[in-house]
Amino acid sequence: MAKQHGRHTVITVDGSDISAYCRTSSYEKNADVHDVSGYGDDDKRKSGGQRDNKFTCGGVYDTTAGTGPRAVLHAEVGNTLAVTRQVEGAGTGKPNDAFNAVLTKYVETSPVDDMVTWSAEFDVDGEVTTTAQA
Amino acid sequence: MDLHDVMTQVGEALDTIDGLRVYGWAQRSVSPPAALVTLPEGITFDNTYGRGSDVIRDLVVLVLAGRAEERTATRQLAAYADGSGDQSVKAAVESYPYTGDLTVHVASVDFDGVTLAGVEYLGAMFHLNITGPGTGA
Repeated sequence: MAKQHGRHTVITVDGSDISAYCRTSSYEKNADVHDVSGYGDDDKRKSGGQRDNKFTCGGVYDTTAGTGPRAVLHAEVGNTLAVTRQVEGAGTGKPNDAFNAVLTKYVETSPVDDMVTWSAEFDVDGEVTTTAQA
Repeated sequence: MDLHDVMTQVGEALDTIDGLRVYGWAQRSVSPPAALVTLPEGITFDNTYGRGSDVIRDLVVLVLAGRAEERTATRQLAAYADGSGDQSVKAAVESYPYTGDLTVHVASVDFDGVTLAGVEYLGAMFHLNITGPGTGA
């Protein structure tokens, strides 16, 4: 057991490694909750429903052809893309989360006194497949 | 990023300003108008994942226009501090064709009297922030 530093995280979108342009990413697993309470229950009863997962990432804008955030994401809003996330970085036995997701939002932000930044939001389509890296 | 290479390139950028003499850091005496590229406040590693980029924070370029009592020193310093023009430090430093995928921003300039080798000069301190690759380049 060991704590993990975020800087090792690897993110690929549509086959492009965008890790070098990422400063932050967030993977969120949610589930619907259904109320299945019946007469006579003093306390509400709950039952889990479908899962609904989200993924966000963002960082420093870069003009690198082919793998920069604009090159990879800008034209893909609304499209379903293959995403992989290696939260502990690359290495044998470390987890790899793979899923398809709809790119729902892509944002570029230009502060007057700092670098241009970008962010993206994904809605996961279907199952997240978690495997150990070979 | 190789800090020495970055400081050298900033010096080369300053050298494009006609009449400005560029000195290495730790110079004991200078002949104004002079510019010295100093060590930065620090380097922030891991600006992005996977050693994608690092940031050099507050690299100071010290420009000495002339002795504090010289009337022309103020006029000369104003030209260096101008945001544009052929004597502008900001324009020269930001427009230089850097190698190694560097992004250089001249964020601000402060003014003060600077004593060097017993002589008080009118000085301007330009504050630079530089982003570059964490590995390679």
